[in-house]
Amino acid sequence: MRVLLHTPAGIVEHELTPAELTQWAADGHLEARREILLQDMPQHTDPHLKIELIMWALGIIDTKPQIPGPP
Amino acid sequence: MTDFGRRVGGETDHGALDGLADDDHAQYHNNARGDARYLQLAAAPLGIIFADMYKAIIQGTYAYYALGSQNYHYMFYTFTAAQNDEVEYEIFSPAGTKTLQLLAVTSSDRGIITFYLDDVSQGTIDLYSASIVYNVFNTLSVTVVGTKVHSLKLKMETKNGSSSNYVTSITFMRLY
Repeated sequence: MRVLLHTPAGIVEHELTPAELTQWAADGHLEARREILLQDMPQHTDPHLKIELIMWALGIIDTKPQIPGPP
Repeated sequence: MTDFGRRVGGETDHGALDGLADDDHAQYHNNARGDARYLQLAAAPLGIIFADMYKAIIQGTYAYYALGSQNYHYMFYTFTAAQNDEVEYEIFSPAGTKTLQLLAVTSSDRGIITFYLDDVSQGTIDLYSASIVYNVFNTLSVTVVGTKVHSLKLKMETKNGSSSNYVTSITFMRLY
């Protein structure tokens, strides 16, 4: 995801690394959450989890639902 | 008689005129007199700054964060936080003792902002909280010298002993 950063040298574009994308999403950045929503949604099979993921991406809840691991 | 003024027939004595602050021409116009007259007619608070509408980033890298839970749905946030990160704004205010109101997001990695008005320290606001809290309003009493556009600098000089970093996360400021 490309973002704009405000620096002493002016506004510069920056491509977020996967780790930065995760951190931005955890910090509440909605566009970062939408990116992760698009990545994670295909892995969700539980409709309830899908709804929770959408609520998280919209900023309605702040705790990201976890995809259950293999049994 | 044609009425070019407020009174039909006009006034023959300046002392009988009323209107904007009862202009009796006690002295000719100058900037101080103009400020004193028109500032009192301003309906809105005079100094409002949205945090991403800065004049200059002095130190640090900031980013606009769209948020769902914060008033105005965003915060201006340090992408890579460090001690002494600093951003400068311009704000108009009349002289006097005013209140600076700050809307912020507090959390466990936030720093303590020192506010400088025209390079004079006005005090600090601590953005630390044990967990993330949206819509935190803080106020600070500031001394405004002169009726003009002022420089307002926010510098992340220190941090709470419990905080893990010097992160900034602010949304807007109001001077009233």
